[in-house]
Amino acid sequence: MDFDAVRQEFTRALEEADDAATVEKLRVRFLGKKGRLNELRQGIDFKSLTPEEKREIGHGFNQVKELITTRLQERVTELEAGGQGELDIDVTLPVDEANPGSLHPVTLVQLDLEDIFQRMGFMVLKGYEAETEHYNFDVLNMPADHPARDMQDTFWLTNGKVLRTHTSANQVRTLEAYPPPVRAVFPGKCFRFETVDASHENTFYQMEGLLVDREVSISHLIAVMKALLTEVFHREVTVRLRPGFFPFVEPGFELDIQCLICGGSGCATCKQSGWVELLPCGLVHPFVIRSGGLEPAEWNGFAFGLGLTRLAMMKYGIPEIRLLNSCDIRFAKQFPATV
Amino acid sequence: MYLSLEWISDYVDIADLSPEVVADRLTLYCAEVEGVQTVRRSIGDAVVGAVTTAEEIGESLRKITVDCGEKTYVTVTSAPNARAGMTTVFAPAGAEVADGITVERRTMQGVTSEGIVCSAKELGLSEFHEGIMDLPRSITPGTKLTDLIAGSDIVVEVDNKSLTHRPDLWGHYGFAREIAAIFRRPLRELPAVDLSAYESLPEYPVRIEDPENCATYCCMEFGNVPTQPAPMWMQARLHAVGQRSISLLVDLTNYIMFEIGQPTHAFDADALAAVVVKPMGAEGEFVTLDGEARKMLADDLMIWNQEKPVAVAGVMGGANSEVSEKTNRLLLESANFKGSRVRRTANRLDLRSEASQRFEKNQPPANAALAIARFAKLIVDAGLDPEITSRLSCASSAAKRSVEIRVPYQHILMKIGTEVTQAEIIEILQSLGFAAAFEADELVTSTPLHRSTSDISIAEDIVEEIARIYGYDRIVPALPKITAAPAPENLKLRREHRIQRMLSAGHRYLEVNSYGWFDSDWLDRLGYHPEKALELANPSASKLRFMRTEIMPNLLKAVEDNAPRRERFAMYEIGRVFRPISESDHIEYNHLAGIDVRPGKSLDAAEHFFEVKAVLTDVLTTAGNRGVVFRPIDAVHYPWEALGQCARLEADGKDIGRLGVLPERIAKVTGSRSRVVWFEINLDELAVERPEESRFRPISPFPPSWQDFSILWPVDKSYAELEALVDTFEDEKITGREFQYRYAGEGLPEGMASYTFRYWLGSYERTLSGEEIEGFIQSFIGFLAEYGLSLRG
Repeated sequence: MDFDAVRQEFTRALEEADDAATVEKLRVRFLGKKGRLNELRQGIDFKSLTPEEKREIGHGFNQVKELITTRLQERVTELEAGGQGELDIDVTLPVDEANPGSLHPVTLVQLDLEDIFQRMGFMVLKGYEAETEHYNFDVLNMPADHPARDMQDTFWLTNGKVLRTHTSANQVRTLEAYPPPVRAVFPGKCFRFETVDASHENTFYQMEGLLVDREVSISHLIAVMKALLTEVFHREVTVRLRPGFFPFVEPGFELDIQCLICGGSGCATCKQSGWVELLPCGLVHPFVIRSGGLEPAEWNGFAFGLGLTRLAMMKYGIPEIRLLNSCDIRFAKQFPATV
Repeated sequence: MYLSLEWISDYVDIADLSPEVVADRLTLYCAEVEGVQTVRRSIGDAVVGAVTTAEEIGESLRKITVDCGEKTYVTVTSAPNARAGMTTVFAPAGAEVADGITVERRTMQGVTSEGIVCSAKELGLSEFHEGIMDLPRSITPGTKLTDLIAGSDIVVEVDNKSLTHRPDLWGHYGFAREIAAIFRRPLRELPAVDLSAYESLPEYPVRIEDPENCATYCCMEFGNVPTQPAPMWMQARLHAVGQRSISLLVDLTNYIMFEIGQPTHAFDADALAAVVVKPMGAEGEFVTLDGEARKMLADDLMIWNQEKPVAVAGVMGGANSEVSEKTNRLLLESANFKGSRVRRTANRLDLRSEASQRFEKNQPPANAALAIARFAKLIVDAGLDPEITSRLSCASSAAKRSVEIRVPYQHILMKIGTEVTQAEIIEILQSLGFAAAFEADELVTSTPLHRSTSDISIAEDIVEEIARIYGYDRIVPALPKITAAPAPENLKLRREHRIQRMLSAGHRYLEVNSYGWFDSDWLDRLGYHPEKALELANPSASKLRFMRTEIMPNLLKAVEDNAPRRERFAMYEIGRVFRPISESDHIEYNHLAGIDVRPGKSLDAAEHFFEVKAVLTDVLTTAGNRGVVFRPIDAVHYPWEALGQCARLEADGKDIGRLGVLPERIAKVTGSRSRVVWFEINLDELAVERPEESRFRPISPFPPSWQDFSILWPVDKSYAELEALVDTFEDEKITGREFQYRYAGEGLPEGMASYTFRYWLGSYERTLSGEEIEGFIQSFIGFLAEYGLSLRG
């Protein structure tokens, strides 16, 4: 006997019954005189059945009828109680304001920059946080005796490696791994042995960039930096280069942008100079090109270093660097969950 | 470093330029200027006075009479150096001195002062005020100070960090040369004595036994150099650049150092019969001229007087050879010591000085003799009449060569990216002291001696010189022409970013970054001791010496740190962990760790667990991984795990992470009353490859039907086991299967729970008939029966 089919038909129909009239129609359709149950009953030739079979089928009918009756009653009660009726929802009520999600401010800046660089055809690589002296110093024209190694106080590991002092450690790894021309940025955590206070951290984030091609000039470097910064700040920026010394570039520069707060006339942000020092950069030193297995006569490049931590602090007005490595929810909750 | 523009003006005319313009151009063309300050000297009413009498009239008070030519004054001073016979500076009552103070008549101990004797601070020369001015006695009393020095100077402060590669910029003359080049003006020569005139005098024996660390050592002997103060102009300049005036000899060596960058040292010539430059040889003690006994190492470079050391090379002289009032003849040393050698010794002895700093930058060897020639000139300018008693005596292994560098014109243009004419290139290089000419289209240049030690050696160095003096602001920006080949994508990183976005925006998690190392004190409290961890040789604190092997302890610390807030929060970090694999090598993994911290018991632990499991499942989906299974742990690895409330995540048979409810013991350690569900997974163990492409399956035009089955399954067995079992049931009519819910409770046989699955049944050819469905049901029930399973009644 196909009680199950009826039961399933009913269950499905009931799911869609969301007002009293429809429920009533269902009652008629299943329990009415010409309803499905009676239809089913009429289709049975009871005379041909043994008493045993009759009892069993009768029992089946009763079960189904009871089920349908109960469910219909339940639904009527449900509709009476919580019947949707005329609604008056205050759609302006917020959702779980106490628990916003957020991205870390460094992530926010990093995602933004990665997006810009990827649009300019740069790949994004991360490298190692515990790095060999070889990649962190030697190949970057910073031999053991070089005073530049004094400039950055280094965390040394007992296995002879160092915690990378800059993401520049990825330059030669990248030249070794990818055939030129190469365009890449390296975001990541860096470490310097510093006494931690409100403006000094031993753990911070950088994004190094490297472009190596046949012919690469200072003019290209300025144009790419200008394009980058225009994207970052969503407006035309004025930049200037001035001499800066870093062993792995030659010539080396400090790139300043004209103060976005005062437009160059001088304010507290730019210490009245009209300019804000933003990033070190330069043409890749031939020593580094050679370290990467390329011939400096054939390949040239530029490199630049963005301080992600510093940019994040600038962007969000964070006055205290230590907050960035704290897991304080009062800090973390302040940032957006999307770029 | 401080630059006196008055001093600079000795060598290049800048009178018509404003100090701001000079400072700006230096920043843009040469080195970063940090500030410009005007030194206003309050000397309008001050005169030179000779102290004729000095009489103690109380504790550290003296009554003195000062002969100022036309008039003699009486005053009281507490200056420790005030003494009869000295020449100093007097400001009479009514005179204006520094800080806008007017000198007044004052009576102390019954003596009325008619003015004051002045310190450098009172004259506005500098901040030094330990004593009153001490001037040569040769100056006529009554001379107005305004006749000796200018009423003001401009001091420019340059950032030392921007000079690390430029030994030539550690003195005024180097900056004068740069300014001359920047403004295209002539540079005047440095006045010096031609020492060749003394070649017939005896040679002072000099021997260098460590040429690696001392390229050149020059010295010359000067007699008749009585102790006296330096002239007023020299004192004023030294004050302007932040140096005290000590005595003529000391001031002279400082003056030369601040002028050309070359440190010199004066020995008492009687203490040395000959000079030997060699290492200490064995550990030992040496008393420096400040009276300190210093522990020297075998490889520290020393100046020896044959059998005993008399100075720490480039760092400090010895007490045993110090110039004193009794010195008849001095031996002036001007040497070239290797930067790294001086740096190591000076750092170790904590004796970094203006001199050692300059040696560290590798001064050009040619400056050694120049400094002596300059000394011979200045000592006469200072009013002395020295008797030179030796010739210039030098030992040197430094080749007096200038480096020739050839650069094709095209290479210069390619590197700069803007057309610079050959004529301008020549002009720029020559203004910096380079010899330069074009041979056909090749620039042939040779490096001047003052740039030969460290910063100029390759074509790119020449390009830098040309470009910076040409002016970076004149270079026209042009975007590079690049190949259109797409950059290789970084799937791992992209996956990481997707997880970040999903957790932060989709599940309201807070992203944090914590430190890369463990805090051992915290690990002790957690009761966790990782077997192997990378160790820092110089941690910032001893308890922070182990690099983290998991992120979780740092997040559990965050539970503690945020506990006072008593708020609900969920937080995650994606970051590196470090695992040593040998004595010298390690592996780094990118881990994702998260915690969901919930105060109160609005949710039972299992519900909480499953909420976080849902989040973690979304992470896995986002990561593109479809094959991860959750298994109960059968042993505890970390204190933050416990049996019965922790899952391990398995992918391709590998453990890739954990998810669990924080045991109460650890929750207590964190001081939080909240329940914490945590997870940590190794993102690098998830497949990086692109997930398999999905294939579209046609949608059947015939409606499917469903059947629910509630299977009774022992409560002590896991869902995963039941699922694995029903997975083996196959029937072509099945188009889908969903687990609905688990029920355990009343109405079920003892020890059993009910698991309801919904099977979707269908066909592409027809609507299934009642018989077909009934057949399926019977077949499934039969399948279950084979395993002794039955449906809930």
